[in-house]
Parts: sequence; structure tokens; C-alpha cells
Amino acid sequence: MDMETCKEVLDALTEYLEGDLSDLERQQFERHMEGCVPCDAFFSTYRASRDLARQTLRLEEVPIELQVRVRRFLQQRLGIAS
Amino acid sequence: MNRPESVPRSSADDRALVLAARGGDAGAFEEVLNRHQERVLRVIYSILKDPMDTEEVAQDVFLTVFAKIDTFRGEASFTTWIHRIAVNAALMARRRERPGVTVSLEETMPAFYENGHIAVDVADWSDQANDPALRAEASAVIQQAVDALDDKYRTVFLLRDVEGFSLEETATILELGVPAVKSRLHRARLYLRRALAEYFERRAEPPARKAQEG
Repeated sequence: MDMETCKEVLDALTEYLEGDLSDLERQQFERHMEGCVPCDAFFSTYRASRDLARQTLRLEEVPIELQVRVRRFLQQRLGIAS
Repeated sequence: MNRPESVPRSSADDRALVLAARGGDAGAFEEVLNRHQERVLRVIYSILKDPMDTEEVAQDVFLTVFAKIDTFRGEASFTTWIHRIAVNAALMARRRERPGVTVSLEETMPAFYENGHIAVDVADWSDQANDPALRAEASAVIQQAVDALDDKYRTVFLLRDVEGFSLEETATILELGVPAVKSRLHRARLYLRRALAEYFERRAEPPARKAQEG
């Protein structure tokens, strides 16, 4: 994978975050970021969006009554004494 | 940050537990549910958003798991197996009025010159994304954007970024290749970035212009 231009680097954002770049590619990616303000801004905001989404969605909780009801239903169906 | 399991467990253990539970073993039943229920329910709930639909689908999923445990060989991961059943069931139950947003790279990537160099400035609001004062609004923007996405991006995002499944596990659950998972994940992340960019850039507009927009 070439990591010379802004387009090549920004196309590789997920590869980088997932650790799927070779050592050389990773170095090139990081060097590009050091020298390119807009790419660095895009990367920072890309990562921040993922992180915020992760936090927001992880707060979603399944109502506890739902868990209890599913459990009871299955107990009954399987003939398990509660 | 992944959701860690505290103790490494083998799929053979899961299989044995399910078989025992099916035979009426209460302790085994509890253990199966303790291991898997919360996460499975959360994935189904994230897809369906409705508690009643979630309850119905979750019941079906676990009944299927108990009924079909004999077909589970234990070579693959039990966790990915049960989540595949859950995701498929939830997607089938999902009644969507219109298809979700297909992510266009043109709309979510910046413009480039022919030589591949970026042709625009990019605002860096990444610090603001962590600002507690803006957290509630930014989270609402994110939630809306995630809900708008088509299932094919959303489920990848939910499994990889929210639930912390690896790329390979996500690929197994969704019966996709890893490159397809990466591509959809990238697009989901781009879409969310753009949604937040619009929000933060609007906030940064000078008050006079905002007043004109009324």
C-alpha cells in the first residue's frame, strides 16, 4: 500500500486504527500526519467520532425487566426449576 | 476499548453447559445466560430499538440455540455462533420503512487534487467532542446518525466498535469477508465523522450569521 498522498493516507484510516498496516506503512502514515495539518485534523476527528459513538452507544442499556422476562420464559420452556 | 471477558472460556464449555441446561440443569442454565444474555440482548436491542420486539426475538434466539446445540461443532466460537443467530433474527424482524443511508465517499471524504493532495482545510474539533458541556448534544447527533445508517454499515459498527468483537469475529457473525467488514466499518466511521463535523461547524459559525438564518 502506498502512503504518499493525502488520499492514500485517508483511505487507510481504518487499516491504521485496526493495526493492519505494515511497519513501513505505519511509519509513512504517521510521518504524513506529522507534516499535514488537514489530514491530521481529519484523522483526529475521525477517531474522536468513533470514540464518542462508542461511549454513547455503550450507555444503551437493555431494560432489566426484559432480561428477567426472557430468563423466566426460557426457564419455563426448558422445565428448569427457578 | 473492548469489553473483556474476565476468564478465558472455551466453546466446548459453552456447548456442554447448553446441553446440560437443556437437560434441566438449573446451574448450567444460569451460567449460559450469565455469559451471553446481556450482550446478545444488547445487540438485538441496538438493531430493533423496541423492547417488545427485542424480547420476542431474544426468546426465539435462545430457543434456537438450545434446540440446535447439537449442530454446533465447537470448533468455531460459540459466541460468534450465537451472535450470528441473534443478528440474523434481529435483521429479519426489523421492519424498516425506507432503506437506510448508503454512505457515499464523495460526501464523507474531503476533496483531493489529481495528485492526491487534500484540497481543503479540515477543522479539528476533536477536543470539543470530549467537552462534557457539549456531550449531551453531540451524543444525540451521533445517535441520530447511527440510526440513519443502513443496516449493512450499522451492524458492522455495532459489533466492532460498540460490542468490541474483533474484525474476524465480526466477519464470522455477519458471514462476510474481513475486507468487506473493514470497508463498511470505514464508511460508518466516515458518516459519523461527517455528522459531527456538521454539528461542530454550525456551532462555530459567528452569531450574526446564525441570527440571519433565524
